[in-house]
Amino acid sequence: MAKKQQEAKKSRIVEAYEWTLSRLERTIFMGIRFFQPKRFLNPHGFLGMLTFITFIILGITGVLLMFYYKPSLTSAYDSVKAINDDIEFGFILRNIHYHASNAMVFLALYHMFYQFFAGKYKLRNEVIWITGVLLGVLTVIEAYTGYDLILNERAVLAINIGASLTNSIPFIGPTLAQLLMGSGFSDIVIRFYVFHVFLIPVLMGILMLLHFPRNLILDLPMISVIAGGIIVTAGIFPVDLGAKFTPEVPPGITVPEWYLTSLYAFIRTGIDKFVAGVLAPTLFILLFLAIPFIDRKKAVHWSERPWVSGIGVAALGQIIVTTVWGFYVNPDPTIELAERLEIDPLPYYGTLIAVTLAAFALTLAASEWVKEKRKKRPRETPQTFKIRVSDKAATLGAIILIILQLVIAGLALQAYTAGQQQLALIEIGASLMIFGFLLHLLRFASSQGVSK
Amino acid sequence: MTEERKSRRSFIQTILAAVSGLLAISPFSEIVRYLRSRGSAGSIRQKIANINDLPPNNRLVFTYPITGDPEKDKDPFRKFLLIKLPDGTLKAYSMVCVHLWCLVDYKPERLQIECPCHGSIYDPETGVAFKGPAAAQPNKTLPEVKLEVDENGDIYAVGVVGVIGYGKEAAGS
Repeated sequence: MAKKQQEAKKSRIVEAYEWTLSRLERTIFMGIRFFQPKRFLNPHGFLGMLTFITFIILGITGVLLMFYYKPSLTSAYDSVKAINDDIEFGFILRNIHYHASNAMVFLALYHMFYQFFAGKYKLRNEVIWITGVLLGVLTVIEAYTGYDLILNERAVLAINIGASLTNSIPFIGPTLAQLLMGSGFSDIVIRFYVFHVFLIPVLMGILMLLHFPRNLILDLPMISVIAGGIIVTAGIFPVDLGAKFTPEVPPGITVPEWYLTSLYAFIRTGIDKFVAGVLAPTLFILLFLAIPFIDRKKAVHWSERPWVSGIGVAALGQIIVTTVWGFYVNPDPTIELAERLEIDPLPYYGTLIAVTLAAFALTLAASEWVKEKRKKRPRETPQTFKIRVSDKAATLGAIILIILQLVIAGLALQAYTAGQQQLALIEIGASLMIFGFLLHLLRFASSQGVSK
Repeated sequence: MTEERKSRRSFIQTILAAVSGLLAISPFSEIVRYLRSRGSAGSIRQKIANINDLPPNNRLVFTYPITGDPEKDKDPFRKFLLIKLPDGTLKAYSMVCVHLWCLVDYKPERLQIECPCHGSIYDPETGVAFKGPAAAQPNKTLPEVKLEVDENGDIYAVGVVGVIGYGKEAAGS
């Protein structure tokens, strides 16, 4: 009798929900378990999820940008200009798309290095590690094909370098370059568009199936804060269109996007194009792919495997040095452009060697020191802060946040209609961040069980 | 049947299936032509100008092959220089610099083809780069257009030697 009563209590909606859920159990979807943390977690553990969220943001904004973008030699630039300047809300979408792409490359790199130093590629995670490195490479290529679509001077410089690097590969290069890029810019624009909006994202999706662990941390508060942060950044640093590419006019000085300046620096040192631009980065990537098979010991703490950690620190140092150096162009306007772009190989490679040696020396010394420290002191349990928030305070806080959000959302709309799109972006992002804080506050309060 | 014969039989079956599969796919290897997207540039005969239109030590820019599609006709890869050298010889080259694809031009005052971007300089008689970054590459010759002049002095382009953007030496031409 009691059971029947309980069943009767179930509303139609709950019934429908449970019905759907039990059917979904038959699909692949339920193979993934989403875990919503009940308290604040160190985001280092779920940087991969945050990278994926930026991928989703890029997918949504990208699809919307496809409504107005025209992949053609004569109208690509003008269509982006129209999206940016004339089409309602286009500025907002383009800037979110651009900054999310930077965030995705950055988060993917950060994610990889964290997993590297934490030794997470061990413990039967080798497939996850390898697909992860490949996903990272595809992320950069995806970003590269994306910024080429604008057909401004910077894009065409990148296209030209990409074509000449592909062409420089021994034996297969010339054919490969033609097969990938066809003949002429009108082919290239359409093909890069196909790569950018379909081919590479689909490849990435397939690799993600082989990269995602079965248990995924879906930390909604952190996701909201990061997504909001990207939008706020977009508002503070909106991206410009650059100069339109006109083949008859020699381009001004442009450098690639930051994730390619390191490659650009290598090419400009004057050594063979293939060695600098194709072989060196390929070896770098292969080294990372091979790491789980080089480092086969069980130890996971970085100080227990100092040489491998040294590789990581050296790689990080090299990435930073070459990336910064790639931005440098001799500012003297009296010298010819080709000479201004040249990088003196001696100081360049000298610095790289010095950075590598210093990285190994420092890591080895630090690991000895840390090992000693870890031996002496027994492992302490991490302190947890006990801040008590009463139910009443939490509710009050939530209400205050909602009011704040209401004000900011209103201001965002008002700024948008007044034509202040940058301000609108900042406020849209801020509102999303407040949503994240609110979610965290609520979870924090409920995790204490204060109400009992 | 013994185990050995069984495994031999399955081995042969696998080989046969693989051979048949490869044969089924093989005609698709011509997809290479589709991806290369060369069109019929190698065979089109197109009038460019009359020999009297162009004084010696001068040049004109022409589009080849013309399609009528403004999008395609604007492509730098279809832009060529017709040069009449001081001695009256006619030469035609792709305008796309083999270094980084800027458009080169003929400078009558210096009797050379120059790239405005990174300063590559080409010999107008041969199309070979002798200075600048293009000269340092293995492929350093501008693709050349084959020309024909008829009895009326009309100049025709009849094909391209080399791959535009990658040089006269490039494979697959």
